[in-house]
Amino acid sequence: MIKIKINDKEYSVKEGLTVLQAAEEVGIEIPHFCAHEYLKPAGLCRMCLVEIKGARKLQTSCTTPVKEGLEVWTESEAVVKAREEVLKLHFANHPIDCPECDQAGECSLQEYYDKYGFYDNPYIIKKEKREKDMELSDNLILDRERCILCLRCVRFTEEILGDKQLFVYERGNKSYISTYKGEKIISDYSGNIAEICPVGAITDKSFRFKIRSWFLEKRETICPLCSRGCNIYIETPKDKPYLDNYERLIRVKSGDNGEINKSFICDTGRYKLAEIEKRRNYKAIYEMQNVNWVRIKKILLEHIVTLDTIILSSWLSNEEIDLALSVFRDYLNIKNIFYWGRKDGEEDNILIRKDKNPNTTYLIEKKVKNIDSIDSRISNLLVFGDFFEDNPSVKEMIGENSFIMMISPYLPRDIGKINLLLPVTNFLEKGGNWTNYEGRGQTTKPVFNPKEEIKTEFEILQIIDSLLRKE
Amino acid sequence: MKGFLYFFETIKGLLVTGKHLIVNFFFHTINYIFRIKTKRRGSVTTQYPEEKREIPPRYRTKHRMMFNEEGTPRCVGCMLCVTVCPSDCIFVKAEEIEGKKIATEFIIHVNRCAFCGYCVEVCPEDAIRMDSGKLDFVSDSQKNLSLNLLFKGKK
Repeated sequence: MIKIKINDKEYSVKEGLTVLQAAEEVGIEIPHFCAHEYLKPAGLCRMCLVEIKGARKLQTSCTTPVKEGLEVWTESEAVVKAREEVLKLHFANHPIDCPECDQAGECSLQEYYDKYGFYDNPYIIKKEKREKDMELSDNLILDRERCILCLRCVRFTEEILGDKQLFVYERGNKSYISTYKGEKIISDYSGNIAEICPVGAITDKSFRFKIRSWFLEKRETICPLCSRGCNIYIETPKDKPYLDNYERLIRVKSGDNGEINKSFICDTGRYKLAEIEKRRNYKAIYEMQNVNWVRIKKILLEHIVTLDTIILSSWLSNEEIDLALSVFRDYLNIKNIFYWGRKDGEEDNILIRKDKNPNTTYLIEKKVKNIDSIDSRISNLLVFGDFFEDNPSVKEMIGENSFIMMISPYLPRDIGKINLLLPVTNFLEKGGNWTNYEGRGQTTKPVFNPKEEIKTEFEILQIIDSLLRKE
Repeated sequence: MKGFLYFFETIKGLLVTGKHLIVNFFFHTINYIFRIKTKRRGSVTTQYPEEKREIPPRYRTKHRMMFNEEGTPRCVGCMLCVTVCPSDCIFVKAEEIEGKKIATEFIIHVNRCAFCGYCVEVCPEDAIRMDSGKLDFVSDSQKNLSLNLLFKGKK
């Protein structure tokens, strides 16, 4: 720890930080565009200029490291004047089309003009005209007029992805960002480029003109689509009468967790997470007919005792797995307990993991066998989740005249074979603890309320438990 | 003794009222029957359906949408009016048409509207105005009181 002075107040901060990071840590905000927590400092935008004792000119705080006895002023007269001049230059070619810009509401330029700007346009020359809606990739749109050349996107492809797909072309006032020969960006992480853009230059196609950002509310959770467990924010419309016709999951944004996913997520998590909201089932079905819970309890009592196989899902939380094992393994002494989940997919060394389920590690920890090790024929079974298509070998093992009970939030593909189907909440509607591939535990809270009254897996297991103990 | 004082004051009040009645009635007769224009208006009553009150230029009346020369609405769907509206009565939907963001639905529920004029003040494109001069819009159902401002025909 070293001691520095910011705005005539003494603070002790960690070694190796830059002035910008140190100020952020003690709660002093320095405006910046190009500095990003997980990218190397570049000192391009000149917005973070501060006054440092001993230096002849103002210094960029994002590139200056802290040292013992450093004295910094972030709100002095010279700094505030410099900020206004820098903003003037940034706005020189900016079209100020906030009414139709999707970034409005979360745009750094808007925010800083509100705080440090409020000047009249000093330039007589007309603003430059450039491409307004250029496709940068299948899900990104580039607006060159709005770009302030902070180069966050260029540095992201260079440092995080390592494939250098974006470059700056030309020099000075004419410089612009482009891919080589205007080709489209091909990457599994392209959605992050739109998110790290501090202005509305690169925006998301799936969010284009959909809803204004200030109508949205952020809710924290983790991504269940692979075993890394990236922290994400789910954005949903605030409770207002005119927002009724929107879906509840508007978009997914990355959360910030330096130990798991930094502040980036893959495109699968960003654009495909909405699929877990589809094909939902809210009705309990027994032999193709709707049943109520009084009848279900009778059916459960009758068939639970004759069960010989349980298949747990790797989409169950730690608590649900613990309860299921204590009921089926310890109380009923069922030996054939397996787990299953979505089938393995691609893998890379940035974020994406091979295992596409959130909680497989905990099941392995509890010594539950994989579904592939199934060897004898099954007659009566209880399954969690519907993964018959991902594990085709299971269907062949099921004998005739067997009784299949399924607990799943979704409508199964072939409902004819399932004798009893119980609806449950999906991942976003229940909370719990989740163990990721390296054994790190994370807690989530329910993001949405279920649309109709349905139980969670934990509640259903509790009912089974109480039924058995009454007997 | 006090009742005696009241008696005099009552007579005084009656005289004032009577003076107003006679004077106003006199000016009203020469204005409306003999058609002689005087400085004083006489009676304050306006004969409503035949005769309408003059509306000051900045008076807030029924909303109207401004259109471009090409015939498209000026509204780009920035939703600032929706955000600022204190009675939540505006509904806007915008879509991408030929690369530009243009409103495809603009509905104001007039029976919720408080005529505060915030939507006019906040509009960055000068798309909505409240200067149509229409004050008398009535309907027998709530449904007809939701104005579709993008509807250009007669209504």
